[in-house]
Amino acid sequence: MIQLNNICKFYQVGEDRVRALDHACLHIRPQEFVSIIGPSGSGKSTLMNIIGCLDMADAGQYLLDGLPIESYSENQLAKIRNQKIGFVFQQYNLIPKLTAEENVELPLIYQKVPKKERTERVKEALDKVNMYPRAKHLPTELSGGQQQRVSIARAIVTRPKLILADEPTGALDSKTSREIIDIFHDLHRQGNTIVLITHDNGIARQAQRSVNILDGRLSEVSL
Amino acid sequence: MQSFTMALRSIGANKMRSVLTMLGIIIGVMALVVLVSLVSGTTDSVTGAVSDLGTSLVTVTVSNDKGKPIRLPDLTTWMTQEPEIGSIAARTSTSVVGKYGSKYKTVTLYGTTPSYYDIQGLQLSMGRWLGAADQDNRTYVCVLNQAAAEKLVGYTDCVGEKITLSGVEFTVIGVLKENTQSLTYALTSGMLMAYVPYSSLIRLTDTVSPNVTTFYLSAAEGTTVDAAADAMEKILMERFDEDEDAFDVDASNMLEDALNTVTSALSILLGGIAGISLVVGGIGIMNIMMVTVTERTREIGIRKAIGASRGNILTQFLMEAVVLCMMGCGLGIFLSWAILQVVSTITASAGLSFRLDMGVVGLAVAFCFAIGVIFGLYPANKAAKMKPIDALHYGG
Repeated sequence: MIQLNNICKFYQVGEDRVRALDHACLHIRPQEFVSIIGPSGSGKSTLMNIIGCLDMADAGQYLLDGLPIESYSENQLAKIRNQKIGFVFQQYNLIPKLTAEENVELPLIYQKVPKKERTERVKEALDKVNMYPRAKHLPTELSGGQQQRVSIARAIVTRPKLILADEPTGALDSKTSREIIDIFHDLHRQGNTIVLITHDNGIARQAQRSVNILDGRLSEVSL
Repeated sequence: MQSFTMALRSIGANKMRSVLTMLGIIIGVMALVVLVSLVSGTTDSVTGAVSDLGTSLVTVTVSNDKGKPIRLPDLTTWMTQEPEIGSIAARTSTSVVGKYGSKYKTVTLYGTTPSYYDIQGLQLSMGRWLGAADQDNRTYVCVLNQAAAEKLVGYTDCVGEKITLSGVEFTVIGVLKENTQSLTYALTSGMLMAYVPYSSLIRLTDTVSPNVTTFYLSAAEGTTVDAAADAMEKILMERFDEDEDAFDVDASNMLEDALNTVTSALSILLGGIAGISLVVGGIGIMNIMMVTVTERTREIGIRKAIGASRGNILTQFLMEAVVLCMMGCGLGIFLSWAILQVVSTITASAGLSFRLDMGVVGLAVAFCFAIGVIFGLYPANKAAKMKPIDALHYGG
């Protein structure tokens, strides 16, 4: 599913060249639930951006579902993100002017799915996270947990190969966090591949497999 | 379609700002549409008034008679035989010295025929006009214009006085009324003029030939000036061996032509000024779109992350700029219509009416669209070029 071979990413900070990822190698099989854990500044976000095709590696090879990501153009990457990856962000990243329903619908609009099918799939996705009753609400009218559910609905509405979650519980209290993690378990049971990035060991342990990241280097954690 | 509704929503989300931005376009469109409509409305009514002054006149000049000169009897023949032609009057002119008592003045002397009076729409203030008998008998009688009566004779009521023109004594038989509304008056104001029978003028000087080179004709009742001009042209073509350069038949109204030139220049000038205000409005749109793009950097990042291509983002912001422009344009046209209605009501008593000039409405719509595209393109492209991660992490 995901194959990272010797991925390197550098940042120029003043005079210094910071190595955010140092020959990172990672292999994730389909239908796996993997957590990536590391403290802040460890290169987690960089890794997430590269796995999510939001950013390109400076060196190394990345195969997503067999596709060599380095060789694609910006517009092709947009299409890959649209079709193969569902994002769940720490800050939810819903568009504030659109209702829950419209936010979930957005990736389908970019896929040019016909209106009728869009409506059905939006309902289905919102039902999975128990948010259909609040479909007409704006994000500002929803609690953090509810917003995160909507954002999960938006991630799964395209039926992606990979769900990529970046600190999905980072801004939530522990009770709501548990509910969100339960949703991820459900999604995993339904056959989705999930990569969850966190700095919380408790949450990382929920996954089948956990990978540690420190100073840009990856190492397997035995659970 | 999807991007259109998106554009409407984001315009609606910031109503006050959108209206203020549109104001530039609204004012620009109003300036363009109202000014040009006012000019064309005024032109229509003024042209109407002007064409009443003397379009019914056809002027014929012969430059090459090919050995077959036109004489006065020819004119009479055409006048009676051609159904389209109303009346024909020959006219020739020369400048002579007029003398009354011990006063000498330069007088423009016109030799003409009786029908000239009707064709030119002249009016007498006293006395009579030249008659057929004067023509036939080549009598030395003359009709003066008011300026000639006042400046040469010294008073207007001078019928019966004898004046000397080019050494020959003429009796004044009539004085013309000044027609202050006629074009001739405007062009010949202050000139001393005397009208004498054509035949008398030929007899008087050697410089005037008996061959008619300039004559005027009017259309018969129930036909148009153009029909009369066509009939005349046909006769002359035949007479002058199908050589259309030998003569000129002119049915156009000089004043109307001049007026049209002036008003179209005025339209272009005013339209140009209004166009500048539209461009200024467009810059306002561009400015606010730049702000919008910066404000919505995060939204752009989200959209890109979930799969919006460059084209999607470009279309979205471009559509927003164009919709903003077109809404302003629509409102501007509506307000222009309202203003023109009000102006029409106020000026109705003066016989003026103003309508939306559809040509300029079309121009305004096309111009606004172009402005939306041109000034929307840069901000939209700026949005489209953003990198998803930079946009996503913008402002936390």
